[in-house]
Amino acid sequence: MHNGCDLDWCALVSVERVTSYSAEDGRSVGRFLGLSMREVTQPNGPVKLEAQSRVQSAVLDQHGFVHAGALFTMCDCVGGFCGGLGALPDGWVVTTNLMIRTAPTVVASPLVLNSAVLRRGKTSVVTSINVVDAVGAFVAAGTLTSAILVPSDGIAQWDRPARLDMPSEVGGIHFDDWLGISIRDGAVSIELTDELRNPWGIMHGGATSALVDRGAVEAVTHTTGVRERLRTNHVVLHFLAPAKIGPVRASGRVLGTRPDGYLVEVEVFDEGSDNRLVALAVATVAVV
Amino acid sequence: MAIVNTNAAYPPPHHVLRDLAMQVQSTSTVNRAWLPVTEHVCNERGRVLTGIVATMVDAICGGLAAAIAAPGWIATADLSLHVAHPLIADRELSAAARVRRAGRTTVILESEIFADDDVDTPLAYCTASFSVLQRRESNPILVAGGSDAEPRHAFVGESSEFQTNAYEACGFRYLNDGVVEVNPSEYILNSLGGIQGGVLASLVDAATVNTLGNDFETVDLHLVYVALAKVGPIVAVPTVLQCTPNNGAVSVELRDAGVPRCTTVATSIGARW
Repeated sequence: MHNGCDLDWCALVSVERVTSYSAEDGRSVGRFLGLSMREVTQPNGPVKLEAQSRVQSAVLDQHGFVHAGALFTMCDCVGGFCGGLGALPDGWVVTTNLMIRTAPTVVASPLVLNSAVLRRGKTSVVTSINVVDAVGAFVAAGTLTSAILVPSDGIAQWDRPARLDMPSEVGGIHFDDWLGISIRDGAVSIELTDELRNPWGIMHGGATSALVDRGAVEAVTHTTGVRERLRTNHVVLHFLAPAKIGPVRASGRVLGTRPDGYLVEVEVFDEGSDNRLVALAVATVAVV
Repeated sequence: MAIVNTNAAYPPPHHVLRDLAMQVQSTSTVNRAWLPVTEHVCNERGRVLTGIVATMVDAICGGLAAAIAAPGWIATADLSLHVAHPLIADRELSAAARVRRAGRTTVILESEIFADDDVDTPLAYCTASFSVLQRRESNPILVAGGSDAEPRHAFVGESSEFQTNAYEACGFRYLNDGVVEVNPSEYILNSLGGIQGGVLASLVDAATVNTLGNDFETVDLHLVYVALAKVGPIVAVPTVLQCTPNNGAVSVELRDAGVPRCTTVATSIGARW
């Protein structure tokens, strides 16, 4: 086992990856979003990635903006893949920390996502993510930190420059419905289906970020009564432990009201794993 | 559990951590701190500078993380500060740091910040990740021990106080286009020889306000520390991502011009309260 990795994540790798998953599994999230990614690394430069996602109605919110949770998920996919390429040949990655700022704007399809490795350490990789629309307007920006782990069944090999095309399999289902979100008493939950797992066999970081998005919005609604035109425009998310069993529940606490929206702390629990805390986030929910 | 620095060499006699004049109190699970609020740690509207709050929480979160990582040492990997209410206090700000996850390579903590005696309504909320490192000779030695009922005591032994605005004391220089720069000096270095994480957060705060305008206050700070800021000057270059009349989102890159390399990437939100 890799000397530098944290115990929780290592235990997960040796169990889930061997028993349930192959290298091709765990890409349902990317396929839903129709992500197409290609490496654009320059000689002697940091690993860089360019991705595109066609904007379909399935990922639009009620305001016609790209669904914040879907946007967070795209950023996790692209930043994570870029970080994974940066981790080679020593291992692959799981997201440990994600920060995304989004703009509530109507976008021109497709979205263009650029990611680059900012730092490659022994045990972690930091990547940047910038998202613009087809006319170059700002959509989102952020950073993603990943832990480098060594899968017990070997590290996936990639031809370089790497390319990963995941044609959309939306089939008319809206993102929220596809996630299977249910709401009760201001908290939101999802069942941890195979579609929502990543290649490691745990809950996909993008799915967790989407759950945080909904958890933050619901906390505002539950606390203030405001229901309309709410949108998460900023999130800082720490992944503390893998969600392995489910259902996975996000519950939020409104910390205060600011000129740019409601500040909400969100905790995410894996109810099937003794209600273990798996993620901690702070989000800003704006009235748009 | 008391967290005591037994290394007399750090911080040096003239250091920003001494001028903050913080008092601390540690238990087995919580590290608390109190920061005296003076005009020198406030902006012109009397609100405590967001970067000073970041420096406070970086210090107490780091202290707790280091005690947990012992005999190893720690470095701040990322720090996020979110302001829920205007940073106003009559007398002092207090902060309480707790561990949310302690792994072999990373420790994650959270901290809430309160005004004066109000411990019900946090003014701000912070999360921070620390990488666990091998100890160096220059690192402080934090000893964990003692009872849960220890009294408040000075954070770094002999305290001093700011004689001027805290950012001025750190040596911040305000340039065109929102750029702010600083030279590394013993006054603002950490025990690894790079600029203190909280001071870098202050630099991001200063660049945010410098680019959006003095009527804005930084309400969100998120910093990812990429490399030590050692040579200098360290230049904070802001880029406005979005701006409305009441708030703005800014990306700030901190570059060590002497290397040259990027040392920190940050995103901040400024707002008019």
